[in-house]
Amino acid sequence: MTNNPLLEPIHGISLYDYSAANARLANNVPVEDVCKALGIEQPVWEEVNDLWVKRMQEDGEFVVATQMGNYFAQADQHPKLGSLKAAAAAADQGNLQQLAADRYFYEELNGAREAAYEAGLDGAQWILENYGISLGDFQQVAMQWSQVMQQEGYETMNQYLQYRQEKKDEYAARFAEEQGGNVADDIEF
Amino acid sequence: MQELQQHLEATEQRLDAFLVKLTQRAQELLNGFEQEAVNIRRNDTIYGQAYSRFLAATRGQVQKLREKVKEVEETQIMPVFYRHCTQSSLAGFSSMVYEWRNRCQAKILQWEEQLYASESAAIERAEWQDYETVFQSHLQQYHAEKEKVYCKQCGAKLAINQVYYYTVYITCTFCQTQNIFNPGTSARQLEDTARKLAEQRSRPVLEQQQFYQQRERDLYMQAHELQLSLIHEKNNQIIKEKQQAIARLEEQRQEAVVKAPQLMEEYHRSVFDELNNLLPDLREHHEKFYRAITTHYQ
Repeated sequence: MTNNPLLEPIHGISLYDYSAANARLANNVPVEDVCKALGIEQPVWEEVNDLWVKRMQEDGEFVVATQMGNYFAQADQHPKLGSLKAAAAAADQGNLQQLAADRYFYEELNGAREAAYEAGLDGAQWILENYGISLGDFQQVAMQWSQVMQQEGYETMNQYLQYRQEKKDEYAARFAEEQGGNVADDIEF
Repeated sequence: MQELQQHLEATEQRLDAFLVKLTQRAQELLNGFEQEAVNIRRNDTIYGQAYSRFLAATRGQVQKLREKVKEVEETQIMPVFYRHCTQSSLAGFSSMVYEWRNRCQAKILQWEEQLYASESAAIERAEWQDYETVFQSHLQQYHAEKEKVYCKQCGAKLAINQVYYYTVYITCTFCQTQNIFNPGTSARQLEDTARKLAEQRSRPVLEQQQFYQQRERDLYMQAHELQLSLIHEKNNQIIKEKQQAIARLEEQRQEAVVKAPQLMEEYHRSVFDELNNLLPDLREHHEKFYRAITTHYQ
């Protein structure tokens, strides 16, 4: 994999740099701050960004995208970008830590987010408002859990999926109640 | 047995009425979605966030209709079937229950397929745009904007002779100062719009591909039904005729099996040829992207 030309740095920006930068941008860190930390100017960043996207499109084996997902989850350990946080991003550290440590909590918020979108709400915004976890932080934790899931058996995975579905149903009922019900609640068999 | 027959008939009639009501409600929902989508899309951000939320909500409500039918199948149809399907002491009793269950499930399946088709068609109509106009508009906007860019040092007009899709350095030909040129929103959208336009232009090929894909499934099902009808058939003449019909269907199916992937390849090629015409400076990337897609598809 290390000999894959698609994984070579672009203008000195490695895939790890690029992935960590995207994790920070997803967390509302301004692009100027990301560029400063990487020691490049914005035109260089934009070309790098364009070229990494093109590499992913040209990669029929999805090696770049898969590796990017792994690096995305390790953004906090990145030497230049790890400590970079958005000025207004006062994440609820307690909830964020629980999200990373408690699989049931992670599945519950996933279910809540899905239910929120299906109710016409902005699911990511709902989690931010109710749990203080931004989309970027959530996705970073999601990548960590994704690596755990790759190792687990069918039964375990199924158990968590069922739990997620139960929670999704609970939140869906709650959102529906708040919005006055679903479209066909009055139609009975 | 008569009592059971009456119960099954009554349940089936209730199912029919239930599905009709849900179809009407789905139609009202989707009609409302189409009308509202026009306004939402007109006033939306370039990323279409408001429309995405509206679409997700509509899909969520359509899903609720499906869940309602699923629940009826699980609580009103299948328990009756399980309760009576093994009571075969009376002649015809068991087959009556089986046939009733099959009819109910076929009605539900047909309802779901119609709902899916209506939902997809409504979304397609709501999202349809003439990308020929959109693409030309973005291109014209870019060319108009690049004429208004001047050197930050000497004020001379910067010579921008190609399309840039992201922020770049432009060197002033008079004083050699390096300027940063941000091509603006329309240029950033050009690649995406070009792809949508290329897909729109190639749509007839995709429709042909979908036709053959569906034809393959239909022919398979026709042959399968003929096969099933042979199980209890004793008449040799009928058996022979049906087997010949099955062979003819299989021959036609094989044509579709070959044709569908060929047309998919043709569609991909057509999309990338169009992209090369629209954005010729990205030809090398398009060709690599095309190879990746065809490799993955194969």
